[in-house]
Amino acid sequence: MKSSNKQLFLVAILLISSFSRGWSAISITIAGVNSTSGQILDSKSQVVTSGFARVGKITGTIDLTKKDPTFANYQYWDSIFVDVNDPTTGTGTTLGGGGTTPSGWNFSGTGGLSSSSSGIASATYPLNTQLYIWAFKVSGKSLTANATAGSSSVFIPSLDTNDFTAGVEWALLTADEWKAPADLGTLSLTISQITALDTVQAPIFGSDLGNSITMIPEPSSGLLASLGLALVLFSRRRKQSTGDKELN
Amino acid sequence: MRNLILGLVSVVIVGNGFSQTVSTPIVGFSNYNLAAGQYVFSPSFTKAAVYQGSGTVSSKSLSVSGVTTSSLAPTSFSDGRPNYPKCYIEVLTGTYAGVAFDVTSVSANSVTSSDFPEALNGQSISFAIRDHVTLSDIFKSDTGFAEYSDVISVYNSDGTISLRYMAGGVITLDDFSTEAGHTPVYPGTGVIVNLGSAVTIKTSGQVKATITKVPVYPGINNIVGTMNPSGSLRVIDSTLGTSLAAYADSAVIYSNNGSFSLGAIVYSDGSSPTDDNFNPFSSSSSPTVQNGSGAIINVASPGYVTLNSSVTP
Repeated sequence: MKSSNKQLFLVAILLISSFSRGWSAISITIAGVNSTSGQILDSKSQVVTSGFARVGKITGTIDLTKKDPTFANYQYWDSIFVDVNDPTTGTGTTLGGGGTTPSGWNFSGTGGLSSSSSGIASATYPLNTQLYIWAFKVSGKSLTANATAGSSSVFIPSLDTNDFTAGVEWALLTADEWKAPADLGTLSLTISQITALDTVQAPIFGSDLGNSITMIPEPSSGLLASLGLALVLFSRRRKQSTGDKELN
Repeated sequence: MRNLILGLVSVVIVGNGFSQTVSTPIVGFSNYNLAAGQYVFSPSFTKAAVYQGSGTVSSKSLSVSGVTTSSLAPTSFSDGRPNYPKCYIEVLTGTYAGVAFDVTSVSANSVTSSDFPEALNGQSISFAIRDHVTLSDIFKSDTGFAEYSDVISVYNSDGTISLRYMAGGVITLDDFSTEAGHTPVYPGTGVIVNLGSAVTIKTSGQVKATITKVPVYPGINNIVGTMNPSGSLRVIDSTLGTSLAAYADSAVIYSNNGSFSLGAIVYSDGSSPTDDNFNPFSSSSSPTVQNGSGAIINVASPGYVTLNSSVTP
């Protein structure tokens, strides 16, 4: 065999070999279905029955000042959140994992999240990549399930200003255990794994209620609640003052 | 990592001027102590045959006699659980020796497998019928699996992945409520497990005294074990050299300590297993596959990987 032919033969062999070496993918499951596995509750500790959860990695600064669910803050987090089931490839500003989108990532009628995304590109989520759940309580928006990894349609809904005007609550969660598994592996994001002992900031936004997590309310609700609390305190204080005067 | 006890029961029958040795199948158990991490897990045992005989395949069916129909049922599940076969026909002789075909229907005097290839029609074969080893046979409630968290990944032949969890003490789908402990683990195949903390997996059954042919498909990750409960298997002692297509198919062996780091990539030169520079392994350089573990095999076209029996029949 001529030297050049032999080189071509070896290159061809190496190309075939590298092509057939493996089909790299991981799977991610959300486990948040009851008090044992933990649940994501709304800001009033009630089950969430409308909304969905996104799962992915964060590629920018975790800015803790942007915790309130406003449209501006949403745009910030959306720009740095890379979803495991985002099929965007090649031309997008972010390249997602291209995994399947399970319907179980929409909150169920009993407030549960379950099911798995599979076929997630392990190259996008290498071993030990920190993973996050970004959960929304929102009306009229949900993930569209698809069964085929890498499908070209977009299955993650965008929220707009109308959604935030109507009131959105959210939580951004992670835990020490939420690190991408090795190629071919599966990771379960169990809500009850979020504890005060985590070395990562966990949760990012949301309140830890033991096994479960409560969402951050919309700012107006929070503001109203603060005003209400202030009025109650003021009223009590005023009553106390009046009482004091009466005693005098 | 494991404890193994094998028992060969032999009974000498002495009669009118002659003696006869009757041997029962070798049975045993293995315990696997796995630390937190990710593993390829492949059971090495099978279940005892519920029927063994010979016959001619006709219209994808085989005649049987003396089989209680209920012992092979159900052949399907329609109660909301995933639909899996309970039993399989293991071909013992001929071209398809070692291949397992699901029992898809059964009557008082015949068993049928719709998976039988046309080439088997008209062939006279010896065969055995066995119950599938299932996930609930392997991952019992006392395994130490963390509920809702530790996960078993079943890589299906169509490229999909079925995820199974422990919830409420039973194996479930990833909805954590539908029972799926009857998910079969086909002979010679395996699953991938992800563990948050240490567990002990206890398996038991018969040591297979015949070869096992594991079907492998292109475009997917095929998990193939060793069917050798007595110890680790050196790659040079395996059939990978002839089961893999030369310079194309590969077998990836991962570390078995939970880190799932790449251990070795095995190719073939057409007769011998080679490293990724296509140099045949020597006895000193040969990678090994641990008992209870396996390899991820990628192939360019459909075929079989043959696993030799670890015992002489």
